[in-house]
Amino acid sequence: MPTAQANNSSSFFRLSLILAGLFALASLLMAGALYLSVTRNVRERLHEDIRTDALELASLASHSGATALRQAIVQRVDVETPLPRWYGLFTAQGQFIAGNLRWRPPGPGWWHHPIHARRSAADRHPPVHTLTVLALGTAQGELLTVGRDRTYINQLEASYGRAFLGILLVTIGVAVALGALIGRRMLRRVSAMSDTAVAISAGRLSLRMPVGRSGDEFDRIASTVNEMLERIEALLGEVKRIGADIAHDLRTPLTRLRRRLEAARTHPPTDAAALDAMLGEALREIDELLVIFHALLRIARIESGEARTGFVALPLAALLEELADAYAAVADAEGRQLELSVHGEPVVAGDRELLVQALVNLIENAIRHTEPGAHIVLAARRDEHDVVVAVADDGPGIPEAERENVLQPFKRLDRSRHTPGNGLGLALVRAVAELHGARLQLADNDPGLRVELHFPAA
Amino acid sequence: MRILVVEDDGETRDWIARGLEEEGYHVETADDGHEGLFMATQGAYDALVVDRMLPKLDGLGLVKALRAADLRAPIIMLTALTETPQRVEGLNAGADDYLGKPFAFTELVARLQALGRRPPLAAVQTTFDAGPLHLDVASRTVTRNGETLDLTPTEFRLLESLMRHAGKVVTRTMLLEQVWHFHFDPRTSVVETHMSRLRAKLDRGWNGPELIETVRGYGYRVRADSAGE
Repeated sequence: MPTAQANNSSSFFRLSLILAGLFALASLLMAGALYLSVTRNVRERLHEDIRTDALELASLASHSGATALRQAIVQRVDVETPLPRWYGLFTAQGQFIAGNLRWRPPGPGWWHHPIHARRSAADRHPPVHTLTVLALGTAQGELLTVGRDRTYINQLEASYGRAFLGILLVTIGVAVALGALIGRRMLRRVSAMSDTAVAISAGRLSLRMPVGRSGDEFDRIASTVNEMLERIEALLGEVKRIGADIAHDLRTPLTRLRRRLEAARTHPPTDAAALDAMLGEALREIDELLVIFHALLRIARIESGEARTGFVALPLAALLEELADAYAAVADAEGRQLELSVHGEPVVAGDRELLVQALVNLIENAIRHTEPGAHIVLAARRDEHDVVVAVADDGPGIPEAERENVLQPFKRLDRSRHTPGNGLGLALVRAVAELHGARLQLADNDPGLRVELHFPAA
Repeated sequence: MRILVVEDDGETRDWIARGLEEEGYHVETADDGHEGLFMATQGAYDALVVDRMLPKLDGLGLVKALRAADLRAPIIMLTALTETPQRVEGLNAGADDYLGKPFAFTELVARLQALGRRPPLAAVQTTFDAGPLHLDVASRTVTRNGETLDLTPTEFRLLESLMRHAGKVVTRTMLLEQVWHFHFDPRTSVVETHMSRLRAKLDRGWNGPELIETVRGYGYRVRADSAGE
């Protein structure tokens, strides 16, 4: 039998990787959006700065004339700023008039222009800077240029980009690693469970699912399965035991029957009366076997729970009265006394026939296992929470250690081996009690036995 | 009386047919549900014995079909399924009685006789006579030669069951079902105990043979003739 691991090994990994991938994609989108919005903002501010400066100068030219403009440009070129600001003024013919930027754009508008910083001793290969330049025509027909160095922005954009990329890589790495880790962890637990299940179905019923300490879903499944296994193991054990008991209890009368029939063949009875007696005995043996079969089948059907669909409300006063009416005479004929005692108005939900049979079994047990002169009480009362039906006697009782035992099919006390009965009576009572959700309790009646059935009140 | 036996197991079928013929019945047989349905609707039978598990058409379906076709002859259903739900199902389908397998042959005969003798409207009859005994269901009184007997409700029901089938055997199982509604076999002598008390009351102060006979191993029979007088 192949383990389930081979088929499922990829599923947890796949799931975790898909999740990690989705997580990474989401991070990527977020970082990209952030990057674009930040850089765009910075660029816009640069353009705004240039535009404001240029318009200010153009307006100065139109109000105060060309000379004022030239003076303003010279002044601005002289002002020290961290990054130099660039200006240029050209005549309509293209002649450079003033400023520090000698490059003349072909016409008005936005331009980019690379410049080379002056070579110095410290820096043999100065970087190429890019200028963003706005060119405007002035009122006098001259061409004014205002420029700013983009290098700062380019560096900023590059460093943002690196930072975002770094964060993105770390995020993806962590997501994938976590996904794989969780996937492997889950996979290990599932594999452990499936290996256990395989071993159990191979017959090692005593194995149990591994249960962790965290009490998570896996632990809950594992402990539920373990409870189920516990029950199955108990039931199987019971089935095995009952099987053995059935074999034993049926084999004995079958052997007896076979011996009788064989003897009849080898030594046929000579007279009709003897033959009739022999056949009568054989038929009685067979009937006894059938009774055992019937009782076993009935217990099995009750335990399957199918009778629960036919439950009705049963007023116990009338039911017990009928039983007492039927059995007072029997008890009397056997020298015992049967009394009825009903308090309150006990009603239970149940199957009438099964309840009657369970109570009949208890009453018959009480008659059978007591000495003549014994008192047997058939009682029912309604308590606050439950309805109690009891059959009590003042006979020898059952020792406490044996009480659980006698509820098992075919289990009988050694001292009652000589009394008739097949050992299925109390097993049926127990099955009926379980079907009705009732608690079966064997108690000391001091002296005697008191069998109580505690039903949930209907 | 003509009886149709529908049973698929050959040995059981022959055993029932031969036994019933020995009892004086005229018996015909069918070995599956379809044949049973065909024969039952063609011939006039006084009673049917139908196995619950049949090939082609099972016993429940057969009984339902017969009742739907307005066939009113009493039907006894034979079955290995004797738990309450199955029994109720069988009776609801239209069977008149339900007998668990395996059964003693006398049990089948007794039940057939009980059904066969039933008048079409059995509920109408409320008084029964058997020899010197007179039983009135409505007033719940029993008299022997006009003298009222004091019976407990259980003893009354017991006597009623016997007198409804006076002259015929009523089996112990039938009494358990009819008087105590026990569809199981109690291990103690419920029937015997109450029967002996009933007999004591019936025969107290009278000489002559007992009014209720024991048919050893099978059941009881109340004498229909007036032997008690």
